[in-house]
Parts: sequence; structure tokens; C-alpha cells
Amino acid sequence: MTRRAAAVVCVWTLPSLVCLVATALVYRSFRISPPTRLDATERTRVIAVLRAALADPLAAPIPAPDVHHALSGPLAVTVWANGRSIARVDALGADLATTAVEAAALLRAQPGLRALSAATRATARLQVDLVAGTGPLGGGSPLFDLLAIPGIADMLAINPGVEGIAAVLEGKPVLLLPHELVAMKLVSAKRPSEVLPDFAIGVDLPRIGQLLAARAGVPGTLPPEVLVRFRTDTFVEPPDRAGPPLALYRGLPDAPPVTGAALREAALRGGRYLVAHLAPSGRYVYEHDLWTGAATDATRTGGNYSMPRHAGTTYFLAELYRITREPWLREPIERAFAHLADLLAQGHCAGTLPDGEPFDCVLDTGETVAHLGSTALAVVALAEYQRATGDPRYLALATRLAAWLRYMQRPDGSFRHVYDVPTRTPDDRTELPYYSGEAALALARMQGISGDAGYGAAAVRALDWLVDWYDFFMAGFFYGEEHWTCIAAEASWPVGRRAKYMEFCHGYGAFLRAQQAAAEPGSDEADFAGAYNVTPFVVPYNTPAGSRTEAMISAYLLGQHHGTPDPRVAAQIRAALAYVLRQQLRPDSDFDVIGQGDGAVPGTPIDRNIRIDYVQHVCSAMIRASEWIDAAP
Amino acid sequence: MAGRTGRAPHEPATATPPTPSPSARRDTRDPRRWIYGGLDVAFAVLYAVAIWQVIPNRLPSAAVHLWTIPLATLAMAVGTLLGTPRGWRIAVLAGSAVLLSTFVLIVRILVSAAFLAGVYGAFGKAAATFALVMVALVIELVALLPIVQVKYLRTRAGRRAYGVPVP
Repeated sequence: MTRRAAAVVCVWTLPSLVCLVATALVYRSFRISPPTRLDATERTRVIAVLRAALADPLAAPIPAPDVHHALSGPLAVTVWANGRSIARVDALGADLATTAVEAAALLRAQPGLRALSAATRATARLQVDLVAGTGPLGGGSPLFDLLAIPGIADMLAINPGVEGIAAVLEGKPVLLLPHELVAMKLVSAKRPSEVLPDFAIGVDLPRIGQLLAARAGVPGTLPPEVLVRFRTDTFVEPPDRAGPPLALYRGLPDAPPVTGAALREAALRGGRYLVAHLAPSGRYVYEHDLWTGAATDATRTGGNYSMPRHAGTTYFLAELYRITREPWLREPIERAFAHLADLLAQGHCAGTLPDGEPFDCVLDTGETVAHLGSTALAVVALAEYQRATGDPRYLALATRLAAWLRYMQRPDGSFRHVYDVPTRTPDDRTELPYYSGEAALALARMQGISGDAGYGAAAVRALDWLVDWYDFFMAGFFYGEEHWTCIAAEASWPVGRRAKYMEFCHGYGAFLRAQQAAAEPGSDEADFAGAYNVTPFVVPYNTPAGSRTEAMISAYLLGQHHGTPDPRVAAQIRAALAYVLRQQLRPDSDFDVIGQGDGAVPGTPIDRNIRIDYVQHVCSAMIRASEWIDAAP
Repeated sequence: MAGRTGRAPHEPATATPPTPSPSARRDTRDPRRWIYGGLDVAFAVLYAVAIWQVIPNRLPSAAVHLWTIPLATLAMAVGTLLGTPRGWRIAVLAGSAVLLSTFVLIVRILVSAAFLAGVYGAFGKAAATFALVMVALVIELVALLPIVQVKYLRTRAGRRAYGVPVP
């Protein structure tokens, strides 16, 4: 081979080879494969040894269970009582059976457990974390440290909720389990973007080093070089120990299958959560952090309480009542609507339109500007009250609010979004997301409860404008937040009998499907399947899975109305509902929450903070889908 | 652009096989020096503005790496426009530096992607596509110019344009 030929071969192969080798080395260095999980029988046997120790610390230990597996790391046991972790022990051994016995002995030695009442010990739930593999943190691989894009190792150091961080000191492991890292908010400790101040990501390694040092009884902190990531096979006892221990992934057990009955039960569960968080005044406990038990005080007015969210949540309760006719919903709905009417009256936005028609609009306390969306959602809620109960007591109020919505509509169907109350002047320039779709829905609902064709015509003009706006080159590849548009399009049926609405919503569905995580069994992120997310490196928010599913249900129903339901939309809905069914807290999964958590829907899979609208959107999708999902393809 | 034999378009097809010339004479008629020089200046400015305004990076190691690209491209422009044997050497070295920097940038993207795949498992179609698009964009926007320019400079036509002896 000539020198030139050799040079050509090198030029064409060496760069690829360098890339391939660097990629393979880094991947192999950091990869921790998902654990091989114990089966139900094995989990039951491990738990039995530990349960015997918890039930009666003074009784003789039971023999080692017949579950002989080589262990890759420690076995950690957490005892949960009333949502709090009241004991933690870590046992180290080579074999699962003997290590479980060792852990049971450590549990017996816990003075705090001995002091518990028999009743508390009986209702406490045991969680086991078997360390199944370890890997370095960024900073533990010279090749990676030299070459990686700066910031990657800090921002995306561990898979949150799946991986823990440990150190081995003098042969003894010290662990911060995956659920401990997320509960202490140590995996969302940095805010890299000034544009998105709420976006938090990144591991707080200095704090983790301090915590691990404290657990090990070592002064100071542990440097990042001695820390490792680990994964676990985790399982927890079911409530009342009815059945085998539940395998957990990212802190949650498997969800029930998506059926109409399961969705109905889940939606009612969400309704019960909201009713339990409704004060006698009709005001909701706006937020509840189920990890700490801290909750908004519903007896105090003001603060960040959102009237549109109050209206939206109350709308959902009315919708739930309309579909299920559960009598226990009626009184709380009356209470919540009465409070809504009080809040509306406090706004002092009412007046008379130029044509002499009385109007009203929603104005939050202290505001001088009324927003179209707030009034639209109030109308939607009030209309839903009448749809659900048949009681027209709020029709006059809804009519005054709808008069203002129509005043804010331009002749071409579009809306002014903001209104200056002191000067009685609409703002023709400010455009905000959601509002036009919300107003279209409000007008469509008004047509339904009043029979006034003028509302229907106004809704159709609004929808025509919203849908026709997308008449541009490359339209169909880009959409804004159009979920209210599709909900309104279906609500306007049969007045808005236009195929273009259905085509638009099916197109929007295809756009959303491109953002929906696919089901890949066995993958690290399989639990995100069905969620809407743009990257697997950030946990998805749960609310979009609800609100977008509400829109997709309307898109599917529009297809049904036109005789061409889209099975891809049905599958999309089913996947999203499977995701949110798993996210909703229920007796299986509420072992680590403080207070009434049954039926709650957290903000993300690794969060236990609940805001009322998280529950509203998800459970509204559930109850609407429950009506037809069993018959869908 | 020069062909595989290094023959410039304006050279006669019957050119005799090259012979080493002890003292090369500059071919001032070749316009490519000015074309490449102009492109180098334009791209250097474009890169600088992009790094300064569009993708500013607070991390020193990343900033240093990114700034090597406009600076080396600017050096390539200076060497190319000088039109002398010394300019030829500067342009070839600076072009090679841009290519090396680009290659390291690609390796950094791949190593980071490998880390993420290791920690998060399934990389996801979107993230994998994004990484590939990033690499493709880097090649297209940064590597293509120095590749063709260094290739040209090392042809006989390129050497003659700068008065560099032809081997």
C-alpha cells in the first residue's frame, strides 16, 4: 500500500473509529442496566421475614426465606407509617435470603419501632430497595470529563426517581435511595434558564455529600469523587397486605388496565380528593404538598388563589356529577358554585354595553384589567352547572358574562383578549394563548343551555377564524396550544357541522402524537409512555396528558359525529390515559403521602405537590373517556 | 474547484505530468483565492456573532472551544488573502485547526449522547435525531468550507496560486 493510499484509508476510517470507541467506552462506563426483578413469590418471601420483625420485634426470628440470589449491593428497608418514613435500615450481604434476615435483625433493633403501637405496626407498610447495579457519576470517568459538553454531567447526572446515590466508607455503604433524593428535592436543584425560572433540573451534589456524611457519622461532606449512582429493584407492601408486594418503578406501582370502569372509578377518586379539599366556604385547598403535608389555608382569602382554576375545577365536579349522578357530589358543587358567584360579584366589573345590554366580566381582586379567558371559563362552569343539574339559577349571570364575550368578539370572529375596566376599553393589540378557544367553548355551551342561536353563530365564527388561521405554507406541521379549539369544535356540534373542524383536530392530534412517548417495554423510561414530552431527559408534566386528552376526546367524538372516527386518535387517548391512571395516587401508591392523597394527581411522576387543576384536567379526561372507551377500536 | 489530478479548470487538458519546480511562480489569475478568502471572512463573522449573541456559553472550556472556530477561520482568511507562500501555510494550518476543532466538537456531542444513553437508557427518537442533526449541521456549517479549501490549497493549482513549490 502506498503512503497516499494509507493516508486515504486513515482519513476515511480513523475519525469514525475514534467516535465509535469514545461512544462505546462512555456508554459502557455509565450504563446501569435495568434490574432483573424478583417475582411476586420472591417478593412475598422477603417481605415475610421483615414483616415478622416489624409485627413483633421481641419474637424469635423466622428462618431465612428460600430466595437465594446473589446481590449486587445492599438491601434497604423503609418503614412507612401515615405517609412518613419512620425507620430505615440497610443490610449488606452476598445472598438475598441471609441479607433479608440481617435486615430483619436490624429492624428489631430499632428502638423507635419497638415503641410503636401494635395498630401502627399493623398498618405500616414496608418498602424494600435491592441495589441491583452501580455506575459512576459524571466526574468519575476521565474520558467523559475531558470531552463531554460542559454542564451535561451536572444537569442530567442521574435518572430521577430511578437512581439513588451512595458512597462506601470503610467497606460500609451509605445510601440515599431514589425516593429520598426526589422527596428532598435534590434532583431538581438548579435553574439553568433565566427565561424559564420555574424550570429546575440538576443534582445538588454538595448537599447529597453532606447528607451521606451525616448518615455515615462522618463530619463535613463527601466529595463527588467518592459518590456512585445505583439502581434498585423496589417493592412495597400493598394496603392491608392484601396480595403480594407491589413492584415499584419511579415510586409507583403498575396501573389498572384502561377500561371504562377503571376510568370512572379513577375520576370519582379525583372528585373525592377535590371534595375533601373543599372548605365549608366553597373555596378549595388550592395546593397540597403530600410529601410534607403542607397545604394552602382555604380559610384565608387572597394569595395566589386563581379564580379561573376555581371555575375549571368546579366545572369538572359538575361534569362528573352530570355523567355519574353520584349524589355525594351535589352539595359540594352547590357550595363551590356559590363561592364562584361570590368571587364574581366581588370583581365589580359589571356594566352596560353600548346597546344597553347588561354585562359582567371576571375581574380578580386588585386587578383593573379583565381577561377574556377568565370570563369564558366562568361561563363554561356555570353552563355545566345547568347541564348537570337542570337548575337555571346561574343562567342570568352566565348570560351577562356571555354578553361581554360577544362584545369582545370582532366581526371576523376573532376576540379582543384584554379589557381595561376603569376606562371600559378593549385592548385590540394584546394576544394571549387559550383565550379565543375558551371563549368559543363558552359561546357553544351558552347555545346549549339557552337555545339562543346567536351564541352558536358566534361560536362558529370564532372557530372559523381559529381554524382558518392555519391556512399558510407548512400549516399542519406547527400548532399552538389548540386544545380548547377542539373542545369547542365538538361542543358546537351540530351547529358547527364543518368537516374542516374535524380535519383540523385530527391534524392537531397527529402533531401531538409526535410528542407522545412511545411504549417501549423494558426501557428505562417505559413509565413515561403516553405522556407528552419533548425529551426523555426531563420528567413529563402530568397535566398536559390530561388537558390534551380532553382535546383528543373531542377530536375523536368529532370524527364519530362525521362518521369517520380516527383510530389513531383513540389509541393516543388510550395511551395517555394509561399513563395518567398510573400517576394518580390510590391506596396502592399513597404509602408515602401525608394527608388525604387518594385520588390526587401530582404535577410530575417525581412530585407529590397537588394543585386543584392537575386533578381537574386529568380526571375530566378520564370521565369523558369512560363513556366510550370500551367500544372504541 | 480542482479535480482529482489537481488540474485547474483553465489549465490545458494536455498538460504534461508535473515536475518539481525549484522556484514556483505565482499564478495570479486564479480567482479562488479571493472567493475562499471572502467566504472565510463572512463565516468568521457569522460564527463570532452566533457565539456571541445566539449561543453564548458561560462555561469557560466550552467558550474557549467554540471561539477557536471563528478565530481559526479568521486566520484562514488572512492567510488566504495574503496570497504568499507564508499565507498558504497559515491558511492550511488554520483550516486544519478548524477541522480538528470541528472533529473534537463532534466527539463531544457523541460522548455526551453516550453518557445520556447510559444514564437514561432509551435515547428516544427525538433526542437521537437531534444529536444526528447537530452533528450534520456542524459538518455542513463548519467543516465543509475548510475541507474544500484545504483540499484546494494542497492541489497543484492552489500551490501555484500562492507560489508554493509543487511537489
